[in-house]
Amino acid sequence: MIDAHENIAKALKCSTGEEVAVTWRLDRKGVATGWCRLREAAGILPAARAVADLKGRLSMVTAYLPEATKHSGVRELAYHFDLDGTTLTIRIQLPPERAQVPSLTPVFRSADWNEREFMELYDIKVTGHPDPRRLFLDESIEPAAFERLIPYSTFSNGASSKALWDRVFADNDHKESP
Amino acid sequence: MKPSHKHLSSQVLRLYRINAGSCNGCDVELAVTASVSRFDVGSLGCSYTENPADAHIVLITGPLTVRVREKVLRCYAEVPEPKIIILVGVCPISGGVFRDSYAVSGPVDRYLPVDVNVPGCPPRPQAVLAGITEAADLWRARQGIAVASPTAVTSACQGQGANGTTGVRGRMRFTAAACVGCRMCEHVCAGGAIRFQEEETGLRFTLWHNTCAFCGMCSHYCPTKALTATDEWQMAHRQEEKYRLVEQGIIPLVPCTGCGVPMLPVAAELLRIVYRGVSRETERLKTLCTECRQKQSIGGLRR
Repeated sequence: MIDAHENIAKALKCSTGEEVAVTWRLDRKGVATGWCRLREAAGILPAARAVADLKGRLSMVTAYLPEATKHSGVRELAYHFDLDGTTLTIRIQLPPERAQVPSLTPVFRSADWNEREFMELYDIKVTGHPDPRRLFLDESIEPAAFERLIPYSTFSNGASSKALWDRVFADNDHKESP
Repeated sequence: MKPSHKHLSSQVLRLYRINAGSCNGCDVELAVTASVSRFDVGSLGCSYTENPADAHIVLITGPLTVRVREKVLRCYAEVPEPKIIILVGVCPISGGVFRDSYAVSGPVDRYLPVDVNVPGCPPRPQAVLAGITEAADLWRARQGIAVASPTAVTSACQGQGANGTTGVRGRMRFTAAACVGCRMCEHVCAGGAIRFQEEETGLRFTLWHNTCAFCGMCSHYCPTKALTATDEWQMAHRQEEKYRLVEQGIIPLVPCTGCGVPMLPVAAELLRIVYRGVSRETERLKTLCTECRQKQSIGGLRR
């Protein structure tokens, strides 16, 4: 186990060219989880190749705005890899402006939908994605929906409800159930 | 030459389904009407088709999302005239719990000439059959064919008991006398199906069945059980009835016996819950407004 952990750290260092400190945790059942950060967002592609070389796979990618950086707008991406039952999470930080990450889809096909999802929900550019179409949002909807502060009243535009209820009231003037 | 009526009335009407962004709940119920013999649309002289060009009746599920709108309209256009539209579930009828979302284009009748609505979330297969019967009658009536009284649904649902089955989710019922006007039901209603209006004579309650998801949250949170679920599933109706499918009630204001100011009466159900019964004291205080009650019980106003 210790060897495997050292191999991962070594492979990440070799591929990204930066010193990567992986913190390992063990849960009650002995399942190990590794956590690390990369300084450069671009380093995620070589890191992913290194994981692929170790016969790992990509479980999922999560984009989020951490509580600590809520005001500066520095978002993070967490890439969750699986190495034979061991989870390795690599996190990268993105600048508030012109955030850009390389696509992992050429390395792991499972990155495809995750990347398309955060491309349309956040203002994050993914370079080199083989199929950068919209995943959920219609083309008519402006991108980066999660980046905009949309008041609830606008988000759930009550115009439709109002129109329907106006009709209901108009058609039921003074009608009562028995 | 006019086709013979006998021929047309016995003609098998073909049903074409369009999923307009449904969660698939209604589609599962539709599948029942294709695969379970007791609810089979064959008993109504109908059959499903995958070819829009063959269809007479179009069944639409889902709230009509922005994403599928154009595709839905295209599929509908491929169905030859004359055609009848049935909306299955509250989503296509009113948007249901998805109404007002930026991703929803519906209700469907903004774009298409709807004929029959089958509310529910999802509607029971019997209700879908009732809607199809209505639609088939309409189709035949538009061909100038006399329609016999609709017996098909009753026979298809025999053994089910149209309104007597227990454990079935159906329309909600409102009892004005038990309502305390707390409006919790309006607050928790996922489909936005409940509205209160303050009127001169009292507080008006309206529940519009065409956006009720049968979730039962209103009843669950109603302290006095003024709202209860029934097993009445039969709510298929023609489009003209769309906005009239409501449960309404008015809680009349009563004058305070102290100062005469109009106030909402205290429901006996509420007293039972709060005081576990009624004493002579509560009986006297319940007819007083808040201010008079305070004066009577603690000798003055406290705010």
